[in-house]
Amino acid sequence: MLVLTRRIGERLRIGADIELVVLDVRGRDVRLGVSAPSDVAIHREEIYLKIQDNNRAAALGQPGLTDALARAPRELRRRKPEPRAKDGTQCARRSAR
Amino acid sequence: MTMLDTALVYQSPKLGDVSYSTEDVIRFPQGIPGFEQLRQFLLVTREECDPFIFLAALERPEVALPLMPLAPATLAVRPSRTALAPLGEAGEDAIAYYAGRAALADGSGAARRGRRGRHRLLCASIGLNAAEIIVNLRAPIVINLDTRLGCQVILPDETLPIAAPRPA
Repeated sequence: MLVLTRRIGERLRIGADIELVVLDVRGRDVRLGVSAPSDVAIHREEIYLKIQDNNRAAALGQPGLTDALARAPRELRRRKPEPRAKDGTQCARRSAR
Repeated sequence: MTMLDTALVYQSPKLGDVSYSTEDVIRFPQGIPGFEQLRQFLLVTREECDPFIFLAALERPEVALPLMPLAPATLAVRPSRTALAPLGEAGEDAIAYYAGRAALADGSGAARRGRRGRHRLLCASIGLNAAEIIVNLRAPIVINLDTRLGCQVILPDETLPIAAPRPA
């Protein structure tokens, strides 16, 4: 890991078009400003990690979830059933919205 | 019949055998958080689970993320055009939004949080020991059904819950 020391108001450049500036330091908090192209996603790390954990837990865990969802009352199923294969399973196409 | 129409079979331990063709495959060029290496998915429906559908990974059949379709009107914040640019050009009706992380909760804590929050939500009890279905409203899965490209967008509104009762 590259470690650099910066003062308030000083900047870092990452590549040609990402710029970090130290805006303020208050006790243990550091305020940073980030300028980056709009197609670069910038998130607090803890949010990304939470979403990672949620996706993993939902996609890999929850044994029986499929059956549990299947037992949900029919009145909650507001969408019209879509055409399905004989085995009741289908791959959604354009109409899957 | 061309080669592209050839029926393929996806064998999922959770969803069983699913017939699909290459045109059904949805590509996530950057994967999704937690599965950044996976690129190819199918949207699989099961009538008995409707309206929930499953984002099933072709490269790892044990990966199937339950999703709930979201009407665009239920999104408190829409992903920006820039965030959706990687999905390619599309008319509004080609963009489908889904809330990921369907999970079953046995309490009403999340429901209470949702009601107190800025984004008022109705609790949808599904009658399973007073359980609720919990979904992630902070990071919807967005799919362009025309280009068959998808991504998971982390919305910039930090008040949106990662775990909330499904919207009514």
